[in-house]
Amino acid sequence: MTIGELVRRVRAFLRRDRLDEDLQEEMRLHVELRAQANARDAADAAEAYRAARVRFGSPGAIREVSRDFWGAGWWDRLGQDARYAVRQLSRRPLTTLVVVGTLALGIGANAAMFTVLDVALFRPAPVADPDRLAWIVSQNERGRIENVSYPTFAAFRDRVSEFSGVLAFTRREVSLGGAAAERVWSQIVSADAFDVLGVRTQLGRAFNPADDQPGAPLVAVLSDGFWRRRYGADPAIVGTAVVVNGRSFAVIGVAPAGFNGPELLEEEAVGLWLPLSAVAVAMPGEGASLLTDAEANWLHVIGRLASGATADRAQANVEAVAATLARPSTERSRFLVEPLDGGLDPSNRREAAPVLGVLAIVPALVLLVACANVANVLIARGIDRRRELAMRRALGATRARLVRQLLTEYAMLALPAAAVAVAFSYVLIGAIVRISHIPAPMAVALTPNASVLAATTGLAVVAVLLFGLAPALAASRPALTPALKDEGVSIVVASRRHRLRDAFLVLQITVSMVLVGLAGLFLGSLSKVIHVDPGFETRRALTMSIDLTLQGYARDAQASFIRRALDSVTAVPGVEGAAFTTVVPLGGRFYGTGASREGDSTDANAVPTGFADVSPEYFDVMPIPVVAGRAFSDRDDRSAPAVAIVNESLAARLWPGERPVGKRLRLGGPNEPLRDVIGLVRDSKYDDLTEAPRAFAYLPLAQDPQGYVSLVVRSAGDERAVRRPVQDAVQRLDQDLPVFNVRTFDEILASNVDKRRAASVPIGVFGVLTLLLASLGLYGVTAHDVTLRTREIGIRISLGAPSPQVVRLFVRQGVVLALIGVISGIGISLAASRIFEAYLFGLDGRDASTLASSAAVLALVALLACYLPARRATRVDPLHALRAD
Amino acid sequence: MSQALTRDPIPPGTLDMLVLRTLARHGELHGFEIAEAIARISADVLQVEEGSLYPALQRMLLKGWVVGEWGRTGENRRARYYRMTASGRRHLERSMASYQRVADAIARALQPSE
Repeated sequence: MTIGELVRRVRAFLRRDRLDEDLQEEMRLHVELRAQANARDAADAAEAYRAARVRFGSPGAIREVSRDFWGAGWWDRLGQDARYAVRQLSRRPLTTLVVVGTLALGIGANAAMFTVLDVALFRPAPVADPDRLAWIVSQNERGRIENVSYPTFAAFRDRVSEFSGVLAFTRREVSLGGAAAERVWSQIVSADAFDVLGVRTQLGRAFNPADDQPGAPLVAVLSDGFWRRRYGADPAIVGTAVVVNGRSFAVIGVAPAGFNGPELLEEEAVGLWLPLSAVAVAMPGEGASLLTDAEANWLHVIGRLASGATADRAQANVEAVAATLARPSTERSRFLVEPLDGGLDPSNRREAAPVLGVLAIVPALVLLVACANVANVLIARGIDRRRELAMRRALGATRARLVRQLLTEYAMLALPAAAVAVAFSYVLIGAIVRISHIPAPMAVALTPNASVLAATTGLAVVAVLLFGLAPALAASRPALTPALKDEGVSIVVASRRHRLRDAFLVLQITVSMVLVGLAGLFLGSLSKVIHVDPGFETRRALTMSIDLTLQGYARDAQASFIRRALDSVTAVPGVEGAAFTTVVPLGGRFYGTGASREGDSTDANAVPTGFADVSPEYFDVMPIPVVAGRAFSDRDDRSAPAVAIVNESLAARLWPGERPVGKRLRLGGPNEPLRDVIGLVRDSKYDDLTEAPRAFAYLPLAQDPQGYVSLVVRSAGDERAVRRPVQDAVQRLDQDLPVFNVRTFDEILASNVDKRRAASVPIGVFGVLTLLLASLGLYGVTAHDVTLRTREIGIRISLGAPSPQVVRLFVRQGVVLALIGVISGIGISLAASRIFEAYLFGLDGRDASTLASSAAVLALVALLACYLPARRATRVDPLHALRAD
Repeated sequence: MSQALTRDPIPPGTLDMLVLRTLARHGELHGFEIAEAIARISADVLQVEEGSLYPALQRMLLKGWVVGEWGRTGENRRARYYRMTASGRRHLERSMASYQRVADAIARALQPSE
């Protein structure tokens, strides 16, 4: 077919009604002209007309043939098929419901997963022309993705011509003073960030270059959410002042609703934006030098491609500019230009993509089982309808026509299934958000959009057609005579259909085995994590944090504040004890350094160790047992000798087999003091419940004062009862000081398990779902078998077959299939164990007892699914059965 | 595509050739005129249901061998006039040549041997 012909055919299809009218007019004219010609010979006009029509033939047939040429024929027949399908489906509402429900479960699970994948990895940010934006990141020699330093960013901004604009940002928590002090997330952005993103403020203005000059007045842009929550959407907010880290910032604008910066993976929604010129205020201590330090990689950088520019050329341009900088940081790493897809920055994206990919397999497997179920229902239905199909073939329908009819019928199942699936996916996403620790902005973004809906519907149609094809071919297989002659199933036809059906059953059991085994492994390791002993008492304990540095406390003031805070907190009724620490175990913060023995060089022999600065009461309050030596006391201050307490793991690494108390060590570089080890404490968990025993050292907070500290409080009774009073006791000491991260240890523990729970619970649910689907499939097939073979059973019973034998007849074949499925499932689980191993804790991917118990559960369920319908067979009344049909 | 009018006694493809030949000789004709012309040429040897001309014309329109334009008959009635295109002419030449070869071959084969 030539292109021209193709175009003409498409045009003909689109204009088929018009063409039909033309054709009819043409034919009318022809008949009339012929009648005129005839009229000269014929007796009367009517006779002439009749003769003309006879000579012409059937206009209806001609139109029909012509419509085929225009490609309209199949379209008409599709409509017929669809109407017929609806009639067929509504005739068997229960089967239709089962198929639609099964498909909807499988597809809904996938729609939910698509949505997560889409939001995390693909969906563009809510800014103007997001596909023209690109991340600029550096990749160090170990392949790790890093941020970019300010001077390097400035070079890209000024010298990469492929970008029409380049922005930089970082995020930090800041203290918001005033009536109700709180800690909020801020994004510290370059002045043109809003312009580059193409985002307009809803009130006031965004930053301009003057705001970014050193010494410019301090200004801030509020987020819509924060403006509504804290300021009740005050329309006169622009021009007022907010106190950030103790300094006054003028509010110049409010960002549009829904805008949360260029990425979604924030702990919390952004409260306000500050210009980079305010970095010294926003990040006290480190901030001042960041704008000049070319080696501090702290900025996320995003560029907007200039019109006509391509990402490849921008990449080359960026590399060329970086090469001219000749700084250690630019020479060590290469710079990459990466598209801004989804809500994750390139580093998180690299980390999350494989995990999400693995998780995406699970709903796909559920769908596979659902489809196999549907296929078996359709096969069973094909058997039930063989008389109707045989009749239609006998009346002249081709096999292709019947297959097309059946597939149309199945496609009609897909559409309601897709609709239900979408509803189900909303429920599922809601559940995922509730049980997992998805960052708030991302959770908000998690709604299926048009592309997810399209993908879901497409999946439904493809799944149904793919899995409907085999049943349709089987059902339309020419077996006219037996089907028409006899209602009982011909043995030949039945056995051939059984092979296909059995294959689907084995597939279901196999996949169920894999998923149930997987669920067992994930839930097993979840339970192991929950039962890990953290090494301290988690009941009746709570914690909260303050950041004295942000509030401008000098070192001495910090020490005295801590002293006063401890006094007032311990005075709160119901408080048994309180202590300060820089690291709340499992609280999400962890500091690491190197520990070296006296006399050893600090770099070569240093043992990597975590450390915390704690007040003397800490070991009592937690409690963490001191096994040798002593805990810190009030006398271990700056005037006293430097001291440290080590845990058993650190002691074992530094002084294997020796008593550590009395030895000396150094934490950090050669400028750090040598410290006397005065005590040895038990290991506990520090950063993660699943961590291996790790080295850890404690320093007295008095000898190493820190601004960011957390209070740990042990209560006599319910810790939630003292939560508010303790918080108030600290707040009373400084009204402007935000007290944040107020959590009970049970909450901390729960959030440690959250991610694991978020992955394990869906896998568990999907595992159970699959098992349910597979057993329903097995049940349905066996039950259908029993119905079909009623007459045979009647004969057997009337010939004296005992009930157990009849039951065995049906149970045996089901159980054999189940065993094949279980064995192949175990095989696949063992082969695929590698993929999941990294996400397990305390179990390896081939854990024999988990696999064995999963197999046992599956075998039992399979047995039951066969036994129940089989038992029904024994109740067949032979007389009735033989008279059937 | 369906071949519903299988009672057509003339060999497939021949009708296309006859239509094109007619158009080549007469230029623009509407359906009835084409049917009349073919009837005249074939001297009623080829029995054609006149209606079968129209699907053939539809297919030839799609193939691009002919184009149709609405115009007026001598009696001022609306009719679609068909005209052969360059590609139609090429097709006619090709099919006449191949028809000729086949016809010659058949004629030789059927000739009583001497």
